[in-house]
Order: sequence, then structure tokens, then C-alpha cells
Amino acid sequence: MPPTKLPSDHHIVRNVAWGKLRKDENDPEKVIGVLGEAFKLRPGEDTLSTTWLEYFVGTRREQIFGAIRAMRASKLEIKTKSGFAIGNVGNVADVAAAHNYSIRVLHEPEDDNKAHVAVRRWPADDMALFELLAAEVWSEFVLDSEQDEGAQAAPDQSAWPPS
Amino acid sequence: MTKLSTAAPNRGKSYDPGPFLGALPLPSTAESADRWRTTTRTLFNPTPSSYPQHAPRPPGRPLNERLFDALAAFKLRTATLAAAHFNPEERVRLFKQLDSLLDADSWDSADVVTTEASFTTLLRMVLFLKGRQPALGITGSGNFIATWTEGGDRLTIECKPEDRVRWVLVQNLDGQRESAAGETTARRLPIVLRPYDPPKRWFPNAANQAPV
Repeated sequence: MPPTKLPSDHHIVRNVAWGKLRKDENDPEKVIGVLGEAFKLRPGEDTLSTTWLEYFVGTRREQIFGAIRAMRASKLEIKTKSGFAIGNVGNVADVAAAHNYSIRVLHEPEDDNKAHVAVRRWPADDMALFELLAAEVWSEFVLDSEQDEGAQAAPDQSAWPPS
Repeated sequence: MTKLSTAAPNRGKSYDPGPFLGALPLPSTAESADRWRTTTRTLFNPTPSSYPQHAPRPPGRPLNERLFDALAAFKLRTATLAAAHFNPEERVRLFKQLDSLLDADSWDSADVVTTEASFTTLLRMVLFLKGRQPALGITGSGNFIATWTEGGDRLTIECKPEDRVRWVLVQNLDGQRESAAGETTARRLPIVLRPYDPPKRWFPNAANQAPV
């Protein structure tokens, strides 16, 4: 079965390590956003790994917590000072298109995260695009430390489409 | 007449200095007790800056050791390169940023530990800009990122080795978004950014001092 293309009004969540969170100039512990660096591929990666927010059931807050718990339960290295950037699929695709990238946002479940989304045709390194995303489009963030503790694998079945 | 003693001294029980702390004078006042506590804390839990510079260590060492050594190297580099340019408050501020950023408990183990070459560029850039000190971040490849933020306006600069800097500016002017990016040297940065206004807004001292 081909991977599902995410609807443009859905959202994807990206784990962001402490060093790639934007800090207040006068308080190194105060997070004010994410850095564009958070969206850069590592050497050897050809897709950007994210988690599908609407895969999880509940209110938006519950969906965010569901996605975070699923990431905690996966092989990802989530530290207590990590953050999570939330972006709207359609907006991310539009900004990427304006920079001549025709990205694909696809649900590609993995064994350790059934809600895994691969963003394909993603540029390996485009600092201008990444900073723009971090500033305006993929800029909503939550911190791991603000969330209740606990890890739970994503369910096998998506909450979307609602039955 | 003084009688010289020619007998061998009676040493009795050989001198045992005991633990190292036994050699320290015992505190006699509350103030000296505080000093004593501070000193012993430093002795037992040295900060990276109190360590001497090491020769290159073999690869494959644990991450926390590599981060600790990197921190020590950055602080020593600050002391040798920029001591005269930072006041104590600025230096403490920078060290706090470094301590926070290179904390082993929050470091992503997939990231390359930031390099001294990138740190040197960062220091030089901050000195050339002579303005607000930036917030710091890192790249996955071992470089520092310096950031300045004013509301929705963001200046982000990656400090690469050998004085190279890669910069991105996103700002709003009269409701219109403007973005620009480029790569230059730390020394030329104030001039390169001048058309986009930040030198006047964020680095007022640098604008008139940068070499042409």
C-alpha cells in the first residue's frame, strides 16, 4: 500500500535537541523558539523525520502529548531539555515551494513509531529556508519538561480519518 | 657556648600527610570557613576552566569527557584571546551559556562536539561586532550558532572555522517580510549586514568601526 499523503491542514511534530532551540540572549535557559538548524538533515539522511499529530486521538493538547509520548517510546534520543516544533503541513509545503522544493509529506510508519512521517525531497542544507520555517511556519514549540512524564508507543491504527 | 647536637633526629612515626585536605589550614572564622569550603569544592569538583590545557586525547572517549574537555578549551581560549575585551560580567555570561549548551545531560549524542576552530570564529565575531552578545546554539556538525532576536526579527549566524560566518536574517519592515542570507568573514560581517540595517539596530558600535 502506498504511503498516505498527509492532508494539508494536518500537523507534523519534530523533535528538537537543546542545542537547536533558540534561547533568550540574557538567559541561556529560556527558550524562545527553534533554530533553523533543527530542520537540517544529518549526513546520510534523505528524509526529515517527524511525527503526525492528528494520528493521535483527543483534543489538540492530548494529541501533542500523544505524539511526544510516542517519540519518547521510540528510538529517538529525547532529553529533558529537548523541545518539539509543530508545523502545519500545507504551510511548510508552501514555503518550501517558494524556495523551489516540491516536498512530499508522507505517513511512513516505522516499527518504533507508527505515527512516523517522512518529509521527502527535503533539502539537505538550506539555511535561509530553514530559518524562515523556524521563524514563521514551523515555529510553534513545546518543551519536553512542560509535559507530563511517560512514554507510550503510538497505536497501530491512526485516529484519522475519524470513523 | 652552643652545643651542637650531632644525634640523628628522632623521627618516630613517619609523617603521614593523610588526605590532601589535611594540608589545608583549618578555618577559624565563619568567613574563612566559607573560603575553605569554596576552595575544597574547586579542588574536588573543578570547573573545566580550572583544568590545564591537555594534549590531544585519543578518539573514542566517552561523550561527557569530550564535552568537558571542549568546555575547558573554550574557556581557556576566552581567557587567552578575549580576556582584555570582556568584562567579568560578560565573561560569566558567556561561560554560563557554554555550560548550559555543552551539558552532557542535554547534549544530542548524534551531534559532533563543537570545535575550538568554530569557537575562535565566534569570539572574534563578537569582538568585532562590539554590541549585544548573542544567544548560542549549535549545528550538528560542530559549529556554534550565534543568534539575536527582536520580536519576530531574527539574525542567525553560523560560525565556521577560519573566520568564516554564514548568516541569515529574517525581519519585518513596515509589515513586509524581508529575508537575506550570505557567507563572509567575521571581520567583514558588520559591513555586509549594513544594508539590512541590523548594525544600527543591534550593533551600533560595530557599524562605525568595522574595517572597509
